[in-house]
Amino acid sequence: MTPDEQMKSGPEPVQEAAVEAAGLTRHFRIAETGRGVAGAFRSLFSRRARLIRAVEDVSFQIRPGSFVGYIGPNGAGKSTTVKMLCGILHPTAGEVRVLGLSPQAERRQVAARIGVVFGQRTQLWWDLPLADSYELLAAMYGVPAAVASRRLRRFDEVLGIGELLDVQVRKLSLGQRMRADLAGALLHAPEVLFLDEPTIGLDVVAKAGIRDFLREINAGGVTILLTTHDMDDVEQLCDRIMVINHGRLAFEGTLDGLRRQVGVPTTMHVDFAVEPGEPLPSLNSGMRISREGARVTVSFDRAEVSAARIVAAFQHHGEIRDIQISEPDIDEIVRRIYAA
Amino acid sequence: MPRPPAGSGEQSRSGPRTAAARPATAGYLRMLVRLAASGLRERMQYRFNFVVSFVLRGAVMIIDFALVAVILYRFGFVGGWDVYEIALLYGTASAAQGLYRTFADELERFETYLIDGRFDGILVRPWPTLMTLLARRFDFNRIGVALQGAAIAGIGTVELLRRGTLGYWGLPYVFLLPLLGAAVLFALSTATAALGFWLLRIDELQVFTMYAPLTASFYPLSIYPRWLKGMLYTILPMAYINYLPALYLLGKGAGPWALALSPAVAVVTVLAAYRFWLYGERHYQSPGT
Amino acid sequence: MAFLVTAWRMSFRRNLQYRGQHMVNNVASAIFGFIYIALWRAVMAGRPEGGQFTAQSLTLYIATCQCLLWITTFDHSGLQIARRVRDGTIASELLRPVGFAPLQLSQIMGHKSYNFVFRSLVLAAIFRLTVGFSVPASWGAWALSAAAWILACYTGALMTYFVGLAGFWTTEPSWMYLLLQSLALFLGGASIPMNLLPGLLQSIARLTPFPCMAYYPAAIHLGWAGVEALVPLVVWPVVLTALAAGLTDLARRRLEVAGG
Repeated sequence: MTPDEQMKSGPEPVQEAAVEAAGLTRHFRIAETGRGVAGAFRSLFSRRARLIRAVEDVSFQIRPGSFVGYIGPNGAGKSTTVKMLCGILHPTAGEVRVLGLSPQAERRQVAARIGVVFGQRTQLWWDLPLADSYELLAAMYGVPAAVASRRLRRFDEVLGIGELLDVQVRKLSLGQRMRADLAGALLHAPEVLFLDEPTIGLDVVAKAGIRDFLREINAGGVTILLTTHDMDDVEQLCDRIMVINHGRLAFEGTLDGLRRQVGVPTTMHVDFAVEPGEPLPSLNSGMRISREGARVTVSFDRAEVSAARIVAAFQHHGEIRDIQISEPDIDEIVRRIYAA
Repeated sequence: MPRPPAGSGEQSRSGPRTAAARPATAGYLRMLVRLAASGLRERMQYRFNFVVSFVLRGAVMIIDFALVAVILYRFGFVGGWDVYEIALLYGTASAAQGLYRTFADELERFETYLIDGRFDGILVRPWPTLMTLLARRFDFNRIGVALQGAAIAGIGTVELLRRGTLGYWGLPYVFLLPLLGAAVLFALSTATAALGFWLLRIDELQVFTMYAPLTASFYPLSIYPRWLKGMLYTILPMAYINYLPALYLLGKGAGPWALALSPAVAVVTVLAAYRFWLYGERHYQSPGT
Repeated sequence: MAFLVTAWRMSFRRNLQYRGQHMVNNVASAIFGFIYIALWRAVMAGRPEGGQFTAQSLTLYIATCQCLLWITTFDHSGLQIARRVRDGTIASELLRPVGFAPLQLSQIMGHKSYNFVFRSLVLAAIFRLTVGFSVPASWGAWALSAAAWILACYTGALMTYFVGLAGFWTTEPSWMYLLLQSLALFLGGASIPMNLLPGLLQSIARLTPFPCMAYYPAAIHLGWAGVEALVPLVVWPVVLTALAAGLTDLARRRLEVAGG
C-alpha cells in the first residue's frame, strides 16, 4: 500500500478538523562559542550562529474526537510542535489552526478551550495545597464552583486525587503530580487536550491508571494529541499515529497502517536447553529466525502470529528453558520507515 | 593486643597516606582552576548580559555611595568624618564584600542544600565539606564589585594622602583591609550557614548576621547607639575590618595596637567559625522525602 | 475578575507559612532603619533646631520609609517570575485565557498585602517602642495617609512586575532588582528626603516614579505635604500600568518568536 492510500484509509473527515497544521516550520538560531576561555572571550566580540531546524514543513489534520499519538525519538521536534499548537511559540513558517482559530492571533479564545499537560513541568502552584491550585484554575477559566467540585469528584473516582487535595504540590510524588496535572488541565472541560510526554518516569501501575483515565476522557469526545516516547502508550490508546524524525513527518496514519508499511516486529529470545539440531519452522513469511548457540531469536509481527503459537511450534524441537519478549522501540520503527 | 606487621607503621605514616594526600590536594587545586575558567566562560557566553550586569552593578554601587556623598555634600561631616574618609570606609567594606562573594557565594544559598538534601552529595566527596561546597560555584562577576569598591576607596585614599591625613606608611595596610574584611565576612557567613544544620531555615538570618553589619560598617561606628556598637565589636566583629584601623591610620584615635588587633581578630573568627561548621556538620541529618 | 481576587488571596496564603522566619528578618530590617537614623542624628548633631528637618523629624521619616519599603520594594516576586521564565514553567502561565499582567500583578499585590501585615506593621511597632513612629492626627489625615500608602504599594507592584519582565530579556534580573532598591533608597527618598537632595538630583527625582515608593507617601504620612502630593501618586500608577501592558505584549512576543 502506498503512503497515499494509507492516509486515506480512515473515514473521510466530515467536520472541520479540530487541529490543523499546514507547512509548520520552526527554526532556532543557537550562538556558538569556541572552546576554552579564549574561545569564550572571542565570542564576546563575534557571534557565529548555528541554525537548528526543529520542525520542518509538517502538515496534518486531526479530526474531532480522535486520539492521536505523536511519536519520535528524543529531539525529533515533538515538544516544539506542541508548543506551536498551544500558541506559546510562533512558527517560523506555516500555519496552524486549533478549533478553527489561530493560537497565535486568537490566543485567549483558544486557551479557554484547550488543556495542556507538560510531562516534565507542572502547571500547578508549587508551594500551595492542591485544592488551592484548582480553586485558582476554576477562577481563571470561569468555572462555577459547583461545576468545578462536581468535576473534581469525578476525577477523584478515576484518578484518586481527593486524598491529595491538602498536600502541597511540591510534596507530591511524580505519579501523584501527573494525576493532579491532568485533573487540572481538564477542570474547564476543554475540547482539545495536548499531552507532552505525560507518562515519562512513571511506573507500570501509574501508567495504567493514567491510560484508563485518558481512554475515558477521549470516549467522552475530547480530542487528544499525545506525544510520547513509549510505544505502549500508542498501542493502547491511539487511533492515529504521526511519526516525526529530525523535524519532519515520516509517517501519518493508523497503527495498522504502520505495521503494514514497516512491520512492527516483536522480538522474542528463546533459550533452549540444548541447541536444536534441525532448523526451526518459520510460521509465516514475515518471521525471521536467527540463532546463537542455544539461544534463538525470533522477529515476528504480533498481529500476524502470536508468541504462544511460536513457542508451541518450537517446543517440538527441544526443551525450552527461558523466553524473553521485547516490544518494538521507536528508534527501530523510525529506522525501518527510512529503510523502506 | 595484635601488633601490626613490622615496618607497616612507618609505611602508613610517610608512604601511602602522604602520597595519597598530595594528589588529592593537587587535584583539588586543578579542579578549582577549571571551575574558575568554566565559571568565566559561562558568564561570557551571554555577552549582552555580561556587559549589562557589569554596568548595572557599577550603577548600584555608585548610587549606594552617592547616598552618603549627597548627605555629606549638604552637611559636610558625619560624626566628624568627611566624604573622603567615608569613601575609604565604604570602599574597603564593599571591596571586602566583592572578594568574599567571589569565592564563597555558594554559602548564601546554603539553605537549599539543607532543605533539598543536596548536602548529601557534598558529604560523599573525599574533601572537606566546606571546600567542596564553595568549589561548586566561582562567581567571577563579583570581582567587579571588588574592583568598584576598590575604586571608591582609592579615590578617598588619594585625597587623604594628598592632604596628609593618611601617611604613606599606612598605604600597604589600606590594601590589606579588603582582605581582612573578606575573611571576617566569610567567618560570619560560615557560622550562619552552620546554624542551618540545626535551624534549617537561615536565609532570613543571613540578612541579620551579614548584610546589616556590612551596611553598618560603611559608616563610622561612632554614630551608632551603644548596643549596635557593642555588637559590631563583639559578636558581629565588623568594627575591625575598616573602622578601627582607619581610626589609627587617619589619626582619629586608637593606637598602633589597632593595626595588630584587626588581623588577629580576622584569623580568630575564621578559625572559630570553621570549628563551629565542623561541629554542626556532625549534626546534619539527611532530610527524608 | 474573580480570578484576580483569588490569585491575590492565594499569594497572601502562600507567604503565611513562612512568617516565623520573616520575623527574624524584621529585626534586621529594623537595624537598617537604626543605621540610617544614626546617620541623620550624627549629621544633625550640633545644628540649630528648627525648621522641617530636625534629628527627631528625620528619625520619624526614616522609620516611616522603612515600613513603606516593605510594601513597595522588598519583594522577590519579580525575581521569581524571571526564574520561571528561565526554567520554562512560565509557559503554563502564558497559556491561560486571562491576561498575564493582571495575573502576575494580583499575585504580587497578595505578597505585598502580606508584607504590610507581617512586616510593615511589625516594624512600625518596633520603631514606636524604640525611636518613635508617627501616627496621623485626624481622620482626614488617616484617610489621606491610607490612600497614599495604597497607591505607593500599587506603584511598587508595577515596578516589581517590571523586574519580572526583565527576565524575558536577560538571565540576570537580580541586578535590576538591586538597582531598583538602590534607586528607591536614593532618588525615592527612603534614606534621604527628596527635598534635601541637591537641585539637579532633586529635579531628576521628581521626574521619576521612585519618590512614589517612599518620599511622597512618607511626606503625606508625616504631615509634611498635603493632598497635592497625591497627584504624582495617581499619575504614575496610570502611566506605569499602560507601560506594563505594552511591555507584556513585547515580552510575550519575544518568547513566542525567539523560543523559550
